[in-house]
Amino acid sequence: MIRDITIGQYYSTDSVVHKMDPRTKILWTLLYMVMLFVVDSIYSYGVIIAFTAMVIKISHIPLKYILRGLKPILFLVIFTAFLNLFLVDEGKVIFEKGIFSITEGGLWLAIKMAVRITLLIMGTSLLTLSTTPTVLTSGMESLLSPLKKIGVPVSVFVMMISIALRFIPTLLDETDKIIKAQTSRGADFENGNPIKRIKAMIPILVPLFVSAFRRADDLAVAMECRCYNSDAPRTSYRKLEFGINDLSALCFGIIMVCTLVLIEVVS
Amino acid sequence: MNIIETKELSFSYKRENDEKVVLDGLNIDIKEGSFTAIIGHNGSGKSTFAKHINAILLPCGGSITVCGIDTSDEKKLYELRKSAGMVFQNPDNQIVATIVEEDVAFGLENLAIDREEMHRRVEAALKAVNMYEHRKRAPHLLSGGQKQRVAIAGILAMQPRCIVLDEPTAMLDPQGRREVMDTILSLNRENNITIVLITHYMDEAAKADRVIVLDKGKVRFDAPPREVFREEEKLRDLGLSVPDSTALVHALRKKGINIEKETLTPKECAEEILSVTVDIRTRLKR
Ligand SMILES: Nc1ncnc2c1ncn2[C@@H]1O[C@H](COP(=O)(O)OP(=O)(O)O)[C@@H](O)[C@H]1O
Ligand SMILES: [Mg+2]
Repeated sequence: MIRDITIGQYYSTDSVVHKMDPRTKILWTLLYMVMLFVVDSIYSYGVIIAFTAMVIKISHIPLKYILRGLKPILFLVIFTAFLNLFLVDEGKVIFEKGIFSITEGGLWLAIKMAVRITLLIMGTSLLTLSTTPTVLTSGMESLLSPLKKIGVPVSVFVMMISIALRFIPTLLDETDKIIKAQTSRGADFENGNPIKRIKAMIPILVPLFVSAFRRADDLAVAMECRCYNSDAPRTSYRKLEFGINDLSALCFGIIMVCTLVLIEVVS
Repeated sequence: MNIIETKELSFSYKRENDEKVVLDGLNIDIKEGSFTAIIGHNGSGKSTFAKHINAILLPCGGSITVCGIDTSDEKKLYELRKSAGMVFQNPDNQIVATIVEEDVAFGLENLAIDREEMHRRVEAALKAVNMYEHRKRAPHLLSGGQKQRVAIAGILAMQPRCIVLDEPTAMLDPQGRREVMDTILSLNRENNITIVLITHYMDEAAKADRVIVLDKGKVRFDAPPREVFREEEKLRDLGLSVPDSTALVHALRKKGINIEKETLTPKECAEEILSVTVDIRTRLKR
């Protein structure tokens, strides 16, 4: 199950999407979120789903791999869908039993929310799947650099994110090892009621945290040894290049947001 | 010329009530271009000493000078850390970036080196540790020995005069240990970089020009490996051992077989034993 987490993982192919400037992809992800916020009618949902499918196609990342990243949040999706289904009281009643009732409005909203969350996760994981963490963070740094003028510690923030991304696979491996070690001593993580299962997590979390803190300590010393100073100016090994592809992608994004808004206003 | 000089270097980690002395008046001078091994029981202060070399820790008493810079001189901190690099035990905890070449560039980015120079140095450093063909890979997918060589390249790119390695092979398999030791030896011989190697493998210490034995924060032995490992009994009292090839010769000597030379490597040991047996055989024939 641990292996299913694909957040922040990179999937290497040499597609157009992978080659794009990270800044374009970050801005596109933001635009995408705006779109998800705007969409309401069935037509605009159609547009955005078709578009997402197209980007996945040209990124050459297998759909299966992207869907695997959804597994950990499946519970959240189902949970919100159920809440909407039973709690929203709007329109015709289609099903009723005791105090439970499902209305048309509730059903529609439940489906919409589930699709929205799914698309949101798929869209953002496309960003990290098609961009190496270092490139991603240098893109962030470049986009946020105007904030440096008003004293926001952008470089520190970006360094934090890149280290977090760097350690995700290491800590996942470690979690996996701890789970195996505890299972082999007879710990049971699969059965029992939710409270029991949460309690069973403690012998995993404690060693994981202890080791994460030790790693953090070691890493801080190692970074100091390599002359890291968060206040000093740094140069960057990678050069970001914003090309014609990026410009057209961004224009397309803005046009798409406008179109979706138009569809919503009309319908 | 001495690249590291300590005078009565003392240190203790401040704790509320008990203040244990970890380094107790060390006087250690290390020559530029030399290869020094430091051995000692767990908790004898080896890592603490290493952390003084590039001012991760500052002395409580006495002083330490590295490349002519007093480590407590804050203004020269980065110059100091550039000239004396450090490699640690756990390769996972010292790799910062998610691509090998970008990790090697980390120190250079910190020193604000311009991009062209940076690419040149990263390439040279990766070639020196034999990792150039892996430059685009993710570090977490490399073997332990490869990771450790990437960590060495990251230090090497800063063009240091001295590299301190704190048990760099402790978490590696025999193959990885060999790779790392070969890299260290070639850096010392070909690039004339001063090496300070902390290790608990005696056969690694035997490859150095000089072995320093620390015990409870004090220097107990400080001599070439052959002389240090002659004192097998005393080393065992300190919780240390000697290379297997040396121990074998000592054991034979106890049995009355007269081997004069101290041997450090299996090859030397085999040659000595062979020459003795040849002696015995010729005597028997007569
Ligand atoms: N951060 C620390 N805080 C307090 N005591 C420490 C710390 N690090 C090491 N020590 C203590 O200092 C002594 C020497 O440790 P160290 O230099 O790590 O030894 P070695 O590397 O030779 O095994 C040990 O007794 C250890 O418990
Ligand atoms: Mg140590």
